[in-house]
Amino acid sequence: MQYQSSAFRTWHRWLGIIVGVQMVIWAISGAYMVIIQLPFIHGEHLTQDADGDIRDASLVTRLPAVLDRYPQAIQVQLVNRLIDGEPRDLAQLHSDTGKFLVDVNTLAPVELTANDIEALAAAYYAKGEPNIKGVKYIEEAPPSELNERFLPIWQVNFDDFGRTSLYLHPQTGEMTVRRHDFWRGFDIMWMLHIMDYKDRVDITTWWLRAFIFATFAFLFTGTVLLLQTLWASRRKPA
Amino acid sequence: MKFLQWLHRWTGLILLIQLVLWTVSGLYFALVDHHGMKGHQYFNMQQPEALNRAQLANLSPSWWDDLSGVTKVQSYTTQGLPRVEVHHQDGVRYLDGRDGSQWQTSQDFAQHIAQASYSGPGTLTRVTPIERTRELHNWRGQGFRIDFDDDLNTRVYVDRTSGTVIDHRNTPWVVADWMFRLHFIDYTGGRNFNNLVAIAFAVMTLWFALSGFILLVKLLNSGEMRFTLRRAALTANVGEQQFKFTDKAHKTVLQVLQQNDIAVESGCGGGGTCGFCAVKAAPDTPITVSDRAELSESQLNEGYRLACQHSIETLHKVEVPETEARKYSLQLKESRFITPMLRELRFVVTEGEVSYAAGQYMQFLIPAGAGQSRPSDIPERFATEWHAIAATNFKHDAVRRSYSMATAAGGDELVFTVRYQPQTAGAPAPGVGSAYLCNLKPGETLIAEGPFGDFQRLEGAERKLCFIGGGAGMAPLRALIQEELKSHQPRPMQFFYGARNRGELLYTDEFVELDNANKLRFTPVLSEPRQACQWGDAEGFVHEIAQAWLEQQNVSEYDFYICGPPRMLAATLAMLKALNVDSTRVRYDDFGN
Repeated sequence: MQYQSSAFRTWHRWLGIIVGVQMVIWAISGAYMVIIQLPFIHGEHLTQDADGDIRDASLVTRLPAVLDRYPQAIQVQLVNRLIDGEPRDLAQLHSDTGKFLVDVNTLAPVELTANDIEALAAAYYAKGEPNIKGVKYIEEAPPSELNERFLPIWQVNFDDFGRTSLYLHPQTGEMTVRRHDFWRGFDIMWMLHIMDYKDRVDITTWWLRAFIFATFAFLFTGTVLLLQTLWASRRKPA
Repeated sequence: MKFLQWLHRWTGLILLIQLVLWTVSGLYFALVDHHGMKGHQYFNMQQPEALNRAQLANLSPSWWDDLSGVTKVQSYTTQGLPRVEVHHQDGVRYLDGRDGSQWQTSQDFAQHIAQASYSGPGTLTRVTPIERTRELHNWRGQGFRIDFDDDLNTRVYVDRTSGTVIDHRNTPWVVADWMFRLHFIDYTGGRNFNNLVAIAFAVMTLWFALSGFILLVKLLNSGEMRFTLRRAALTANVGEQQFKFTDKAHKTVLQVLQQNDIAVESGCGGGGTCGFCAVKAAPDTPITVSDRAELSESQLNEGYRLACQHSIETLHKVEVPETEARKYSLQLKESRFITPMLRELRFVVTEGEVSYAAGQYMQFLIPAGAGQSRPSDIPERFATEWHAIAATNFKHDAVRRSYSMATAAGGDELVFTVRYQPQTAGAPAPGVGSAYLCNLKPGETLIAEGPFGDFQRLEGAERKLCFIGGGAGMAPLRALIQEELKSHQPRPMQFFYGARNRGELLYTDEFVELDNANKLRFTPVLSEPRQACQWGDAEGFVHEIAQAWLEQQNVSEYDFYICGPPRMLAATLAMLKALNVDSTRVRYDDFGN
């Protein structure tokens, strides 16, 4: 049996030059994403709930008054949150435009200070002693790890393994976004995997599609070669 | 390189299907995008409903005073109905905001919220109570599936406990879900790509891609992948015929030959791994890694290279072996001791006929198996020589071993002389090929490939022939002499043949007879004659005796044919060089390699 050489091999090699590097990138990024557990990437181990038990349930009787003052509310919650260094029962109002905290007694909105945010972040932090490096209020130009739609937001940075950053809601102090180095690595791998090097979200770029089509050809030629070689080595006695 | 090719090939075989599945599903994702995969084509973001004062005034802490660890009490409105959620340490309690009773999702209410979440053209066709569904991997409980008769077969799932729409599903979602199963290798529907199977495949794919990448880099470095529009010429000699081809200079010799219908065997399609496509070029042609792996040292010295490993830019002229070399099945007819350590094996070809030139050799394909160091049929008269050789059994791999034909072509037999290679100090086993061949029983068959080699007679009607041989080197020399004698006008021949003692001399009677008939001059030489030999002829090393004789001759009249053990061969070649013999008139068979 004689095989016509090498058309498939030539094609396989030249296609390899075009898609080979991307195949390696797909393999590396895929392996990273697959091996490191997704809940860990999401940083679920980084934080815990920090809201306390509601101390005085009878405060619900104040809620009609709260609604009178803020009639735009579409949802009202009674929560217990760490403000001014102590857990306080507060009303959290949701409206079409956002959410905020209200003192149920004075009906005044509760403004969170950097100190409040730092204390809340320390309470959310679940990796032991919180070692806070800095607290920053971000109104524009978010870091690449944060989607613009979250702005404005509080960023709390920790000096720990993985350089944890927690992002807290500016009006309610709720835990909103968790980031650490493994997430950042995942994000880079995801970028490489989908080949959207700018916004890291578009999975439909023409070059991604083109590379996938080239990969089909690459696989096809490789398969032909594989079958040829296996067939040949089965015949080869020595 | 070999290992990487092996790794690339076998991981490729294992991964093949998954690589295709990854590519197919990847293409699907790239074509359809996130929006097409969520099942939200007809999903309608629900408009928030205003709170009313009455529902807040109605709230009573007594509704949840049996719960502990309450962290959140939440009030809102759905479809005009007041709702309350109480988050406590064991979960969430859903209450009816009118009276604080457990929230009940009626079918009617479920239809309403499903309808409100739906923006498609269809109408609600069916409501089915469910407790679980394959389409919501993590959901268990009480719920409804609500079907709409649109083009996408939309169904809306409603959870009764919380009274909320869980999600929409439709036909594109099912397709997408399968694509996720394929891409994540998670056929539970959980879309968990951190599973063990996926990890194993990912790691193997990493090896696979890296091995391929390294191979590619090596290819690029070796210059094998240069691309050029320049053209180069290739001259190919196939037997008597000569061909000349021109093609792009980067093409391999194999490509050019095959494109022009010159038969060259190739098992791997140009991968440099099967070794079938050897062609003969100038001996100074660069040797690639694959050449070295697939060809023997003597083949390389003769100029054989793999046609797939060289471009026609570097190889301009090749000799393509006529495909006479092929595999034959040989059946052993007779096997006998002719000296204490050497047997003559006579084979018949079971199918066809091996046409060969004297001096050529066959490669025996010795299969893997168990061997034994001592044959069972040692004649009584050789018992003393075998006395010191212990009987051992050993296992061996498949090997190829080359043996020259010991007769000129013409009969229906192939005759070989096989010398036992006893176990040497430090070696794991005796000679594998010789032990196998010497233990072969008449009637048994084995495969041999050939004929190979260009240890053949030189042309020149006026030439005289001088043969110098030693030990088992007798075989090809004997064939050459027989062939010469068969020719129309045999030329004068001188034959020096060396052995250690009389017992090791091969076929001497035959040559003494020829000498007596004046058909050639035969000079046997013993290097270690014993008393019992009663040796009156030449003593010493064969090349010394030959030298003494040649010094009395005009050496330019002679062609030289040399075959014997490595040291004898080296000494003889050095001797001829010292006598200023033209090296183009010297042929030798280096069976030491």
